[in-house]
Amino acid sequence: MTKDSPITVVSSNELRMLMTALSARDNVRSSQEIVLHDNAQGYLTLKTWLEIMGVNGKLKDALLSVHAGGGLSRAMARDDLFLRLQMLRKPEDDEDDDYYVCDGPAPVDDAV
Amino acid sequence: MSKPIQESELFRRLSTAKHGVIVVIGTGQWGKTATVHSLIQSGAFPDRNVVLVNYSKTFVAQHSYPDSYRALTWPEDISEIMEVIRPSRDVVVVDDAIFVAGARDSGTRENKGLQKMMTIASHNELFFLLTIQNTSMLDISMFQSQDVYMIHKHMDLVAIQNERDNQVIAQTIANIYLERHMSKYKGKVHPKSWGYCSTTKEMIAFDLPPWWEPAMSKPFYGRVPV
Repeated sequence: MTKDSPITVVSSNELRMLMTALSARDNVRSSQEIVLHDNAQGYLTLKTWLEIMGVNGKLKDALLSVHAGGGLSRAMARDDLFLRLQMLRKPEDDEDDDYYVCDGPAPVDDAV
Repeated sequence: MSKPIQESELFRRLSTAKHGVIVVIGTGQWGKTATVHSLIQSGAFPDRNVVLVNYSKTFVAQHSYPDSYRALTWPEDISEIMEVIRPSRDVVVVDDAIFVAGARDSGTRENKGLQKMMTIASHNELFFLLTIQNTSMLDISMFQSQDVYMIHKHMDLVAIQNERDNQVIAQTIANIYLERHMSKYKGKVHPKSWGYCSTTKEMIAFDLPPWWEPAMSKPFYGRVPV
């Protein structure tokens, strides 16, 4: 995998963990997908756009496969995976990970 | 960027609700109990007292819990529960919930009692905070009647593989997020403080309450809860 490749599938601990979890599932049925891709949002945007435009079948698959390339997609059952896809995208180096700090009650003046 | 938990969706929902079940899940020694008390300390359950199920009264007395905390022995007969838990006024902490809600013991009187308690929690405006190492050990019926909020701590791979189907992905995603934050904020935020709420999809750093003592993370040390 070259550095400039739009596809990033690395043997990171996280990926191995996810693959183990996926392979542990023995009954895959639904059409929902996990997309490991450094631009998963772009993939899904294209997919949604194709569906809206009525592009289906082999043409849709071919267009998506160009985008997905060597990325990994895998059908999964019953899980609300769509909203979690963005967690899997490769974070930019300067991307800030927002979080909340639970360190006691709010000051009286700022109480929610 | 960090923000106070009072600005989070989790806090907003808890502080405006009158009942609910909060499940803190993860491998042992990753701070589940401390997370529960940190969340309570945040003011998410204003003006409520805290009930510690099956803690010994001696243990609570010997440690610096706030005055609003009390130990409670789960009653033999569920009909007696409302004599010891006060509707609308209590937060019920079931630490290591396996002791009272293990799936393999789902037919026990204690478990039926807890299930019934969950079912009527909304009518009594109660919050339950459960800690558990794996949902496969927890009776699924506990999740079916209430608003459930899942807070994930780190879970090791073996435990994930033994998880329920619908928890495998959620916990895997949580682990990815947790490890990313542990790495990114190493030296700034204690790794055990991180928790990921898969209900609201928020990452939270749970600091220890100011009254916390290390022994509080092992309330059943040296004894088997009855």
